[in-house]
Amino acid sequence: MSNIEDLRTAVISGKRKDAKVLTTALLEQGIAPERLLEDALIPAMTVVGDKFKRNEVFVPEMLVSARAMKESMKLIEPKLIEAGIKPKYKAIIGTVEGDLHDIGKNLVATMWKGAGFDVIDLGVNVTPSAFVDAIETHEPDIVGLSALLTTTMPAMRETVAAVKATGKNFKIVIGGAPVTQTYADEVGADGYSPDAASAVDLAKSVLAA
Amino acid sequence: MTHDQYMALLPIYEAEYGFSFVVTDISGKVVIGDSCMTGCTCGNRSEKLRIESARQTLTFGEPIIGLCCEDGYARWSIPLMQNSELTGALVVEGVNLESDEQDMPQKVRKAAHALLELAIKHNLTNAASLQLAKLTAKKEQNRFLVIEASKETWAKDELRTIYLREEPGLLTAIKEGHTSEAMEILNRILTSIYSVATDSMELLKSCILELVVMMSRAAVEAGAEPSVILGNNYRFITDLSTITDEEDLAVWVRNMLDALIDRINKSEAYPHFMILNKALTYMEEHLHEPLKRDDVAKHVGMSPSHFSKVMTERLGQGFSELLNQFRINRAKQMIMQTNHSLTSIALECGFFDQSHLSRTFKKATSLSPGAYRKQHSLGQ
Ligand code: B1M
Repeated sequence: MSNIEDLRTAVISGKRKDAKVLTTALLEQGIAPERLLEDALIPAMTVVGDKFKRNEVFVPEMLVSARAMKESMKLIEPKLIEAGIKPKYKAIIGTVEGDLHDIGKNLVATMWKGAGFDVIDLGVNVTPSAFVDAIETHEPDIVGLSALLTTTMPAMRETVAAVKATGKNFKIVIGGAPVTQTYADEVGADGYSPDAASAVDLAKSVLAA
Repeated sequence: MTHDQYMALLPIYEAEYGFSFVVTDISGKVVIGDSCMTGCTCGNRSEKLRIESARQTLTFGEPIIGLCCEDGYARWSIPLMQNSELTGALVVEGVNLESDEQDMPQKVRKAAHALLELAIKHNLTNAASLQLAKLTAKKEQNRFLVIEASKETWAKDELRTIYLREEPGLLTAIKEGHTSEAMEILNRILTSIYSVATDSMELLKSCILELVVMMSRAAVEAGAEPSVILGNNYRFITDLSTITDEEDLAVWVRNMLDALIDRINKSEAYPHFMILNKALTYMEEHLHEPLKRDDVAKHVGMSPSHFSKVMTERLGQGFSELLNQFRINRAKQMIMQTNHSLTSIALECGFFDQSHLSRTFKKATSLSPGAYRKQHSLGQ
C-alpha cells in the first residue's frame, strides 16, 4: 500500500519517478484525485516554499520539486476533468510577463477544465501583446492572469489594461500568492480568488453577473 | 569577452565546477565555444531563452537557474555588459538536474554563482546594477512576506481580535526594548489595519490613534518621561487632523512610532528599568532559597554595590527589605489560600523556621501568622 505521506515526501525531495509511481498506485487504490492534490501536492509545495524562505533549500531543489509535482499532476489532471461535458465557456489563462511560476496557474486551468470550460493555456512569461493576440483569435468569455512575484504585479496591471483596450466582451480574473482583492480592485480586474478551487466559483459568478 | 580570455577562463571553471560555458551575442547566438546541449530538445528556441535568462539574472541580481526545456535540463545565464547595456551572455546549459550524481542541486547552485563571480571579477558585467537588483529583490521578498502574512492570517479577522492577539507581545517588546521585534509586530498590526479599514480614512485614523495610545502607555511604563511623551503626542495628533490621504498617514505613523521608541531608548531610567525588572523577577522566583544580594547582582550583570545603589534609588528600598517583603507577601498568600502547615510555609518562603517566620511576620503585619490565618482564611 502506498500512502499520501510518501507522495508528499517524494515531491518535497524532488523524486520525480517516485512521485509518478506513487500517484499511479494511489489513484488505483481509489483515492480521490482531489485528496492527492490537497493532502500531498499542495502541502508539499508549501513545505518547499517554507524551506526556501529559511534558506534550507535553494532554487535547483525547488525546480526538481516543482517537476515532481507536475509529473504527478499529469496523472491526476485527467481524473479531475470529467469527460464528455460540452464546454459552456471559453477561457484563456497565462502567467504574466517576467514570471516563470506556473504550478498555481496550471491548477486553476485544470479546475476550470474540470468545470467544463474550454481552456487555452498560454503558458508562462506571457506578454500583454500575446494575451491580446490570443483574445483576438479565440474570443474568450474569461481571461485569467497569474503572478507569483511582487515584481511582476505591475505586469499584471499592464496586461489588464492592454486586454481591456481590445474592447472585446469578456471578464478578467486574477490570482497568485502576492495578489489580493484590493489589488484586483485597484487594477480593474473583475475578480480575484485566493486558490484554484474558488477560482471556479469566481469564474462562474463573474460570468453570470 | 575575447576568444583568448575565454580559452584562459573556461578550463579553470570546468576544472573547478565540472560544467563548461559558452559565450553568446545579444541575440543569444553562440559566438564562442560549443553548446553543451546534450539530449536537450529546445532546438532553436534556445537563442531567445539564453538572453531572457540573462535578463532574469539582471532583474534579480543573482543567477536565475531555470529549465531550458521540458526534459529537466537546467540553464543559467550571466549577462555580459558594457556599462548598463546588455551585449550578450555567458551560458551553461543542458545540465541534467536529475542525474544520479550526488548533490547535483547544490553543485548547480555553486557553479551558477561562481560564473557570476567570475564575470564580475573580470569586469565582464555590471556589478553595480547586479548589486542594486539584488537589494531590490531582497526588499521585494520582504514585501511578499508581509502580503503573505496578511493574507493568511488576517484576511477575515476583525481588528479587535488583531489588537487582542498582538497587544501583549507588542507591549512586552516595547517595555523590554526589543525595538526590531516591536517594529515587526507593528508592521503586522498596521498591515491589517490597512487591509481592514482600506476605504474609510476616519476608521483608519481612529484605529491608529488607539494604537498610539496603547504604545504611549507602554512607553511610560518602560521609563519614558510622561511629560515628553505627552508633548510628542500632542504635536503628532495635531498633525493627524490635517492628514487626508493614506500615504501621508503611513508616513505619520512611522514617524510617530520612531519617536516613541526613540524616547524610550533615550530615557534615563530605561536601562535600569530593564535590569531591575529582571532582578525582581529573579528574586521572586528564588525567594525560597537563601538568596544573597551578590547572587542577584551577578545574575543581572551588575557590581553588587552599584546594584544596591540603583535599587534604593529607583525603588526606595534596599535589597533585604525588598526580599523580606516578597517573602512576607508570598507567606500571606499561602497562609490564606492553602492549608499547609506554618512550618512548611516558612521553608517554602525562604525563612529559617517557623519562629523566624512568626517574628518577621508579626513585625510587618502586627499579626502572628496563626491570627492572620484565622482572620483571612477562605470559608470563614
Ligand atoms: C486566474 O485566476 C487565478 C486564480 C487563483 C490563482 C491564480 C490565478 N494563480 C494562482 N492562484 C492561486 O491558486 C493556486 C492554487 O491554489 C495558488 O497558486 P500558487 O502558485 O500560489 O500555489 C501553488 C499551488 C504552489 N506554489 C508554487 O508553485 C510556488 C512555490 C514557490 C516555492 C516557488 C517555486 C516552486 C519556484 N520558484 Co519562486 N517560488 C516561490 C514560491 C513560494 C510561495 N510561497 O509561493 C516564490 C514565489 N518565488 C520567489 C522567488 C524570489 C523566485 N522564484 C523563482 C523561481 C522558481 C522556480 C522556477 C524554481 C519554481 C517554479 C517552478 C514552476 N514551474 O512554477 C525565481 C524567479 C523566476 C521568475 N522570473 O519567475 C526567484 C527569483 C528565485 C531565484 N533566485 O531564482 C519568491 C517571490 C518573492 C517575491 N518578491 O515576490 C517566492 C515567494 C519564494 C520565497 N519564499 O521567497 C494560488 O495563488
